[in-house]
Amino acid sequence: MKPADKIKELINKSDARTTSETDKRILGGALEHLEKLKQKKSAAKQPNLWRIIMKTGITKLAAAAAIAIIVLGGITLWPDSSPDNGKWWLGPPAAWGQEILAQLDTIKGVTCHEQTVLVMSDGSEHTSSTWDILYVSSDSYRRDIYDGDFLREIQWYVPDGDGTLQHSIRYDLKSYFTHSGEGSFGNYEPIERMRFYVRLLDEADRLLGETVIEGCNCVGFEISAGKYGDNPENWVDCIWFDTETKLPVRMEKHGRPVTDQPDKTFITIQDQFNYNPDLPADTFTPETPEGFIHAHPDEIKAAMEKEQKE
Amino acid sequence: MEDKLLVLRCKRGSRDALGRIYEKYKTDLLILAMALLNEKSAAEDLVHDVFLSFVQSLERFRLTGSLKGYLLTCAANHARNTNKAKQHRSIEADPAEPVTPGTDEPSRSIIYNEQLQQLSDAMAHLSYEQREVIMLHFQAGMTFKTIAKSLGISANTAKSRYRYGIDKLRLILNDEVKK
Repeated sequence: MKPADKIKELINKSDARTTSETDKRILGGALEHLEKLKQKKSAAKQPNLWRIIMKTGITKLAAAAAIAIIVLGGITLWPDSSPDNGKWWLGPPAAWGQEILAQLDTIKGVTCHEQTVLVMSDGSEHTSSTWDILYVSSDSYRRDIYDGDFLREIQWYVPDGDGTLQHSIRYDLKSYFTHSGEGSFGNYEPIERMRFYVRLLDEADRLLGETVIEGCNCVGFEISAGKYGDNPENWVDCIWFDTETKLPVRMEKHGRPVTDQPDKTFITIQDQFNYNPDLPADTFTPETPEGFIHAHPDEIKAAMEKEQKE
Repeated sequence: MEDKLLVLRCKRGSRDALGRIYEKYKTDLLILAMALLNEKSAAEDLVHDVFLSFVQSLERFRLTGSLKGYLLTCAANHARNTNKAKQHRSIEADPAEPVTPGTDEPSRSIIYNEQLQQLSDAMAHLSYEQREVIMLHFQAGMTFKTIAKSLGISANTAKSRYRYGIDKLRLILNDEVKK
């Protein structure tokens, strides 16, 4: 046997066992630090995402430059029709937009993180403790809903004949609910939303400049939702692209009103996109843990309320 | 994807997620640590330091490749510092004394199997630099180009360290067969 193969074999057959005491000793420092990190996070007020973006000098400068170009020149948002400086986004979006759309066409699936931020009437912001992970393939969709650290709910939308089977499980209520219908998950599909924005970039209201998101240099665009549908002008959407891969890294919807609370609005943020992820085969297979009861969550909540009153 | 979610949950302060990452990769890390340092107590300390650094860097951490690769590279970096410090200490203590493997405290309770002991003993005959390249190549599955980049050396240097190391191992392993 060659020495390289012998070493490989030794590595493969090597094993080290630890006792729980040893594990505690090894991991102790890290767990202690994690706890401090958690406390620090909960103590600190969640900063305004918009402010973070606009805090960077380069973004302010880019925003100022964009405004100056529009005010002084009264010309298009796109100042350089043939950028040689690598800043492709300064060229006409019709050209690079096609390139992004072609890239998006090759995406077979995506996962991302979604969270909402509640904006109060005084402008203060509160990040929701619930957050989701979305898994999307060409024909199926899954949403894992977390409340803090706790996985509260999983929803699946999978093909069922000509329609869609919707199955959800609630870990907090130990229940599940299933129904088939004509519905689809189209409204939640992030790739479709990306395509939609890219096609609208010709009409973008603002170039938000460059900033670093999730370690990538990104460029952002702001589009008023008034540009599509019957939406008011003050509903604003933003999309950020990785300047290297040109793929979207973040999408934001601002200004949407909270139902029954007209003085409050919310921001929805989708980020941490993972394109064509290597997902376990059963990701889109609905499952129900043993012992869960079949009931709609509203029914269970109503029954619980009734029980409390009695 | 599972690793991405675990990292995400760690970022949110989940002890369970950190525990799962530890359970998933502790053996790989201990094997690397033993092969590089040839000392049980130092191996345990190294894994401790790797997880501490991981948590300390969580706020700005972004998983771009494999988590296993990241943790093993981190372990190799820590091991290099440990090795340097150890060499420095032994030179200061007595320049005439050769560097000998450390004695392990009886309280350390990691059980290493025969193959790992054999691997560690064989590796102890190589220079630290040779061990590092061989282990990163075989265990972390890194290419010479990636190893070179992470060590700040040229790809040719990484390859020659590997080649000389493997040549030396051929002699050591042949000797063992003869015995």
